[in-house]
Amino acid sequence: MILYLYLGYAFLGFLTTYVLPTAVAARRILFFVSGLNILTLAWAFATISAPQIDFFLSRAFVSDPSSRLFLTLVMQIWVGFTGYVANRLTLNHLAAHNFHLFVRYSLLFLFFCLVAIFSNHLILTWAALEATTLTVIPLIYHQRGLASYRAAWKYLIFSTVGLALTFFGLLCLYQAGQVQNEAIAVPFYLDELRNLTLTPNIWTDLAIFFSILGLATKLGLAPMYAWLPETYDHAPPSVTVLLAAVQFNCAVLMLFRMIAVLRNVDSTLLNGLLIAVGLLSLAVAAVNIIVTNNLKRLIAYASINHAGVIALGLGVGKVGNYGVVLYVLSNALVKAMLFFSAGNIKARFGTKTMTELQGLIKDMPYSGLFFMIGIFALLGFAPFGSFIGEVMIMSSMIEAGRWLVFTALCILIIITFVATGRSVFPMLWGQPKLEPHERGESIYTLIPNLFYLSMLLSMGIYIPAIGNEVILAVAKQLGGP
Amino acid sequence: MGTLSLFLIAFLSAFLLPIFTGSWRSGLLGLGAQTLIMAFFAYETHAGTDFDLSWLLQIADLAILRSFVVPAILIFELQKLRISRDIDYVPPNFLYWGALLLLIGSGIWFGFLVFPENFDQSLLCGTAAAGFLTAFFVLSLQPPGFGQIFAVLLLENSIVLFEFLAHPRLEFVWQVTASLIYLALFLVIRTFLRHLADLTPSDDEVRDRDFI
Repeated sequence: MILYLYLGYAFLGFLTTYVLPTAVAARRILFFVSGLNILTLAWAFATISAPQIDFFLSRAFVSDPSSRLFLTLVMQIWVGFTGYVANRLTLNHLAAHNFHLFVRYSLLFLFFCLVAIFSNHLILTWAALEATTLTVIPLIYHQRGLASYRAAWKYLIFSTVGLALTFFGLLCLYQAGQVQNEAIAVPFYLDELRNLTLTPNIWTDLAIFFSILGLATKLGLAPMYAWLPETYDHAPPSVTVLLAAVQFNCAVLMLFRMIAVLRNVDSTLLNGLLIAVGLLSLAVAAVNIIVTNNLKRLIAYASINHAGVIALGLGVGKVGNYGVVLYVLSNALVKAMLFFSAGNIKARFGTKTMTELQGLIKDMPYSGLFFMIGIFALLGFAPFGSFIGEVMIMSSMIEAGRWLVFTALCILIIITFVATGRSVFPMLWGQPKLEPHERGESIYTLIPNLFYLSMLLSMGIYIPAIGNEVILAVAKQLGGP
Repeated sequence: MGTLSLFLIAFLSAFLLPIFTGSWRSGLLGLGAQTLIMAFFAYETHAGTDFDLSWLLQIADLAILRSFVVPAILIFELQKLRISRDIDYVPPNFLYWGALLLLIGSGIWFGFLVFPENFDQSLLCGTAAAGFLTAFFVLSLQPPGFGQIFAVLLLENSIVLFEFLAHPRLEFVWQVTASLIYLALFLVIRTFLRHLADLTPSDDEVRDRDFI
C-alpha cells in the first residue's frame, strides 16, 4: 500500500505539471508531494515493524529493511530539496523560468528512484537506474549553460556505459548458471538469488567484475570517475544534491543487493575488487582535493573519497557492514548539507573559487555555519555519524587483519583531511571581501540543514531502537566472511 | 559452417566496414545492418517452434526500432546539421589499427576459450566480445559528439548479441523494459544531437547560472 502511495504521489505530481504548467503551481505541487511523502513516512513508521518483508505486483517489488531505510533517507533529502528550491524561488525571480519543467523532471526522477529502491528484480532495478539517469539529464542542463550541457553529455556517456557494464555482468551471471552441470536458470528475483549457489568459473568472475565495475562507474569510483566532478560542479546545486544524495544511494542499494548475491558466489574476488577500487578512489580524491580551488569540485572529490570508504568497508566484509550502512546514511546527509550551502554561497557571491571567498560565517551565518559543520562531518569528526561509521570500518579492518589496507586508508584520510582544511577554513573566517549579488538568506535555508544536522548528531550519539534494528537488518543482509 | 556462423560473419563485417570506411552515414547504416542481421538470426533460431511473445518483441525491437527507426532519424538529424561526412572512428595509423585488430582477435579468442566444444556458440560469444571491446576502444578515442554516440550504440548491439546466449530468453516484461530504455536513451541522444556543436569546447565559455 505504502509503495503504491509513494509511486502515486510522484507520478500524479509529474502529470499535474502538464495540466498546470506554471511556476506557482509547480511550487505548490512540489510542496504537496513532499508533505504527502512525509505523512506517509510517519504512517509507515507507525504501522510496519523493522524486519517485516512484503512483496508486491507478482514479486516485482519488495518492502524490506533495506528499501525502507533508503526510502527514509531519500525522503529526507527530497524534503530538503523542496525547501532549497523554494528558497531559490524567493530570492531570485530568474529561478521561476521553466520551473514547471524543472519540477516535472524532478518528480519523474523521484518516481524512478522509488522504483529502484523497491525493486525485487535486478533487471527492473537496472532499468530504473537507467531511467533516473535519463530523467536527470534535462535537470543538469536546466539553465542551459554550455558547461552544464557538456557536463550532462559526459554524465550520459559514462552512466550509459556503466549501466551497460552492469547489465553485461547480469547476463554473465545468467550464463554462469547455464554452464553448470545442472544448467541452473538464474532468476533475477532478489529473494531467489540470495539462495543461489554457483560454482566459481570464468562466467561468475566476469559477472562480479562487470557488475561491480559498472556500479562503481555509477557511484563515481575510480577508475571511471571523470564524469562526477564535472557534473556535480556544473549542475544546479539542487540537482547536484539529487545526484549525490538520492541517485547515489539508489546505486548503493543496488550494490548492496548485488553484493548479498555475489558473496555467495566468490567472495575473494568480490572483496579484492571492492578494496582495489576503494583505495584507488581514495588516492584519486586526495590528489584532486589538494589541487582544486573550486568549492563544488572539492565536495565532489570528497564524495569520491566517501564512495571509496564505502567500497573499502564492503570489501572488508561482515564486521564492517554496520559501519558501512551508518556511513552511507551520514554521507548522504553531509553531501546534501554541503551542496545546499555551497549553492547558497555561489548564488550570493557569484563565484565558486575558494581563494576569492572569505568571511562566510560573518556574511552568511546560516550557510557559513552549516558549511563549517558539514565540513567537520565530512572529515569524520566526532560526534557525527560519519565518525562512528568510519571508526567501525577501520576497526573491522584491524579485526580482519588487513593491516596494509588500514595503513593506506589512514594515510589517504590524513592527506584529505589536511588538504580540505587548508582550502576551506580560510573561507570561513576573516572579513568578507566580495560584494554580494543577492540579498540574505531566508528561513527555508535553515530548516533542512538543521534537520540533517540533528540526524547526523543522532547517528553519532544515540540511534533510536527502531533505527538501530533496521540498520542491523540491512547490515545482516550484506553478509560476508 | 552453419547458418549461425554465416550470420555472425555478416555481423562482424557490418561492424568492421563502417570503421574502415570512416563516415557517419556508413556508421549508422552499419549499426542498422547489425541489428537487421540479429533480427534474422533471432527469427531463424525460434521459427517453427511454440508462439513466444518475448521472441516476437525481440524481433520487432531489432528489425524496426534498432534497424530502421534509430539510424533513419539520426541520419535525418545529422543531415540537417550539414556536418562533414568523414569521421575517423579510429585514428588512421598502424598503431591504432593494429590495436583494434588485436582487440577483435582477443574477443574472438575469448569466445573459443569459454566454449571450446561448440563452434557456433564460440563464434557468437567471440563476435559479441569483439564488438564490446571495439565499442570501448572507439569510445576512448572519440571526442564528445557523434563518434561517442556510435560507440554507445555499438556497445548496445554487442550486448544484445550476447543476450542470444541466454536460454531461456528473458521474460516478456523485461524485454519490454529493455526496449523502452533503449528508446528513451535514443530520444535523449537525439536531443543532444540537435546541439552537437555546443558539445565542443570554445573559448567564449558561458558561466553557469545557478538560479535553482
